[in-house]
Amino acid sequence: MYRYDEFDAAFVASRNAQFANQVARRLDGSLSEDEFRPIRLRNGVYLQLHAYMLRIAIPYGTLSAKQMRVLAQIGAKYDKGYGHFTTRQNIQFNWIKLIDVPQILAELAEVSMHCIQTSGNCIRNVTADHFAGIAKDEIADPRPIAELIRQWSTEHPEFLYLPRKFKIAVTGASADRAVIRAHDIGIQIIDDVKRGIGFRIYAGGGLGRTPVIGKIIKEFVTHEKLLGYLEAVLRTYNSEGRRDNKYKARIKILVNETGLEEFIKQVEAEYAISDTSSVDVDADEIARINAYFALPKLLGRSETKYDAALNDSAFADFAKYNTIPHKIDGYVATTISLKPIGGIPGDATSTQMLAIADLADKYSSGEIRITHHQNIVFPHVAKDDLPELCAALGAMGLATANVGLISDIIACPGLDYCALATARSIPIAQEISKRFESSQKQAEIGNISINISGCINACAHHHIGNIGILGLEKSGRENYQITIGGDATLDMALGERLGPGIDAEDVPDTIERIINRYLHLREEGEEFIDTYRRLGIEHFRVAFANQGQILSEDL
Amino acid sequence: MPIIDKEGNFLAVADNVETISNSAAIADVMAQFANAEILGIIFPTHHDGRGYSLTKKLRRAGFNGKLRAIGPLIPDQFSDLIACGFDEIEISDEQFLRQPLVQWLAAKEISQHSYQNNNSTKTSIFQSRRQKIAANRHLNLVRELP
Repeated sequence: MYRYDEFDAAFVASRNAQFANQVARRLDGSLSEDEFRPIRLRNGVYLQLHAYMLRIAIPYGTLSAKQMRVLAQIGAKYDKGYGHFTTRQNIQFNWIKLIDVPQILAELAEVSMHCIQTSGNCIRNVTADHFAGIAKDEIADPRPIAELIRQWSTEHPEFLYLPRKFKIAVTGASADRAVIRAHDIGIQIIDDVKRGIGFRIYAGGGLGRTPVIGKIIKEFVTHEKLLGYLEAVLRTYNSEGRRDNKYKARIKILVNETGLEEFIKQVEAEYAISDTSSVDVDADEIARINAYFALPKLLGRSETKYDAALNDSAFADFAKYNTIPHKIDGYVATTISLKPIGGIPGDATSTQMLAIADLADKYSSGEIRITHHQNIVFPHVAKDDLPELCAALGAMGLATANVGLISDIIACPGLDYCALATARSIPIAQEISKRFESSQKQAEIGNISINISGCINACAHHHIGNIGILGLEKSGRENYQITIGGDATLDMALGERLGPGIDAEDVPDTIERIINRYLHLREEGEEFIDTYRRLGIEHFRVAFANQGQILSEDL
Repeated sequence: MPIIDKEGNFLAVADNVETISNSAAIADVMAQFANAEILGIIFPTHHDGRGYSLTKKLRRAGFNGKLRAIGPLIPDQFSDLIACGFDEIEISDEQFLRQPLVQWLAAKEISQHSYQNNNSTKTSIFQSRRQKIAANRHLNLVRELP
């Protein structure tokens, strides 16, 4: 794992001193609210419906047990005893007092953490594959490059006042688990026959009110030249991106309005005359960062206890759904689902976070990952330790065996917390998860993703959920639009709308009917997305429209 | 209007500054103002960041005169503006009253650490690391001497 050197530590310390000073100047009137706002956002502080929300960066979703303990303490000391893990691998606390923020930042800095650029119109916290460094299908670990981008983008003087927020994601595996094509820039590590390891760059992806799938803008960039190329993209966007309408300000709109070819031409022209020598990365720095991400020493272990425990069906389910094979034989990466039946997706109590930290020390070399599905990963678990770990997690309510299944729902905070939301998301997720409580039923349904956003800003990525649910407000009532067929992988697809919006109480029934329709239509070996792709939306629309109570006056 | 230069001096002199919009094309600006002594770039709001990139491009294109950022900018932007190539900042009287020189100096002082190489005299964190690695190598060489 990356650890701050004295330079990183000094930087964060001075940033914290700066923010404390800025808060003081806001309070004494030197800074107006309009002037303070971008500063506050760039330090992760949002003003929400009921209170300030503080979003803490977990760069590329990697954190240590020690850091998790501090998050637990912050939840207990400054919030209501819990925190919420987000779809960008961060954590947010929803009940923070502004006056406590400088002290919280100081406590975070003690463990090399910060809130820098978790919000605002700047380059946001970089995300990456949560199985980085572990997965067998990996070409190269994306974390070193994500860390390099974190450092380069931190307080980059030229790019602090972009037209809109800017999100970068990196994947190093053949399967994209970082949703790179839904990002402003997506970076895919590739192994080119002639040129070796390098990066393919996608740009212009993003969801929100205008969902767009990212397109390739550069086939190959070397490690050394990556930052210089990113600067050319950012400079083009900063100069040319729209600033007249915040809903048209993301780079995806610029790419679409300029035209892909012309946009690429502009970036290349900028890149050609850029002096990138100041951001080219030398071999020493690459080696320095790479060294931090070496695998911990994982000793060879027997698998007898693991094999014996498989006789227990609850354990067998946990092993089946919540683990993936590790590069090292005898080990697995284990996902801790934060989606208990009827629970709030992504929430963890401070008590649970403390337990997770202790268990990570005991069973995962002290390392933890946060997934964009709002779950937690122990990257290095010996298979023979898994029965013990599973039992210990079970005691904390953390052993739900549903990763990738229908109750593993991604949901934004919605109208229960968020100032932008138009409808609630959490209660919808809770009701759907209760509806499909039976583990047999979930196993029968198989792999499927449900994503629920409480407004068109699409924080829960509803467009790319196999089933997407979007909460809107219609004549003073919450109204939910259902899409199906979304896909979050490199073959990214946007879901298609099934029909008119429906009431909150009709959502679980409707989802159940869609699922029944799928179970009826599917062929041997198909997952939901396969059946949808084979047959198209019409076969599902029938199920949706046949229900009298849904045929409202909308039709 | 009050002007603060990159050394933190307050200048109240009236001068003839040529001004351009923050969306001006580089070729046009260079054709018209390449030899200007002082060129002012207008920031319509403090959160419109186009002026930062424009300055970088102007310096790259060989503009050697002074560059002045003009608009409702705040002390917290001082270091970043200098880093991108500005020499001075012009703000309104109202703003200078609310945010006097001492706040500009303090804001500049507090942001001494930076990951980026830039026009300022600051050493970037990447450079500092390189220097440290080189120094360690040198030290090791010295230790190996008989």
